[in-house]
Amino acid sequence: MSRQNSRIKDRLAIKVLSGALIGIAISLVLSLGAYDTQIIGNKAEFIAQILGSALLGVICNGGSIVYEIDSWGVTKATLIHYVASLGAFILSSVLLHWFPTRYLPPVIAIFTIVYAIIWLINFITWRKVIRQMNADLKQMIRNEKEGGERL
Amino acid sequence: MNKMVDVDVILDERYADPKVTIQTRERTAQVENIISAIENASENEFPLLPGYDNDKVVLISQRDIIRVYTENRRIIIQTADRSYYTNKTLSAVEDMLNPQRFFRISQSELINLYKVKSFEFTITGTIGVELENNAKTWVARSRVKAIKTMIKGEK
Repeated sequence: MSRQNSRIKDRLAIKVLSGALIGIAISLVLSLGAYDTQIIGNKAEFIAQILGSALLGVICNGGSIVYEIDSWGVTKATLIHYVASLGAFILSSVLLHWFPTRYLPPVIAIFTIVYAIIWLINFITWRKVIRQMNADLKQMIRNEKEGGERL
Repeated sequence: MNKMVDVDVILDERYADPKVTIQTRERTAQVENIISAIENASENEFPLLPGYDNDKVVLISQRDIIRVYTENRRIIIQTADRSYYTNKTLSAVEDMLNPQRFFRISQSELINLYKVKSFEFTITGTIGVELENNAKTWVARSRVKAIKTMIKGEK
């Protein structure tokens, strides 16, 4: 139990770190464009943007660890990741003024559709894997019956 | 009437695993002993598992085991008609079992692949497995790849 848990903890650490780095990188790149506009007027706002993006990266990427929790299942994992990422995204975009708030509804709608598609693809893929496994299993059991009863 | 048994070994390419045929006039006690000895010999590689049935120790043949799982602090060994418990750890039991048949499906359970009725992928995104004794349990997604390989290998 603890061996598996420590592996998950290691992977979580990697995800959190890479999430933060990706967030910072994106923030820096976009800040180059924002330099001339009103979003970043002073040092404090610049740091806020960097930290905010890093945090969003941590939650989204780190949050994806839920998919590795076997007992939760794909649906629950997708749902939790969706809620956490969406929540963090809404907070960040509003507090950091990424776009006018009137854009939120369509943005959220697109976000939701993307997650629904991710879930659907996951679901269909796994179902196919399981169906194949059942077919192979039947074959395996049939082979043993024909080969004679053994241990 | 008991004399030394005559043993003939016939090499035949067609038999990947040895097949034993006993030619006898009648099925005496000696013949029964021979059959037990042969069955024991093939089971020696994969030992009988000791399990408790109400404080009484029973030796369970691996071919009868459907699943082995953790419940409270004990390991339960389940066959078609009853359950036994053991104080060994799941890993200890796993080491005794034939790895071609028994597979770890989660942190707390192993199953006999040949006793599986079917797998299913539920709407909640978990992998269910139904066994011959109608017991239902779930398989960890992280174990699926290994199970797939094993089943394909055994095909």
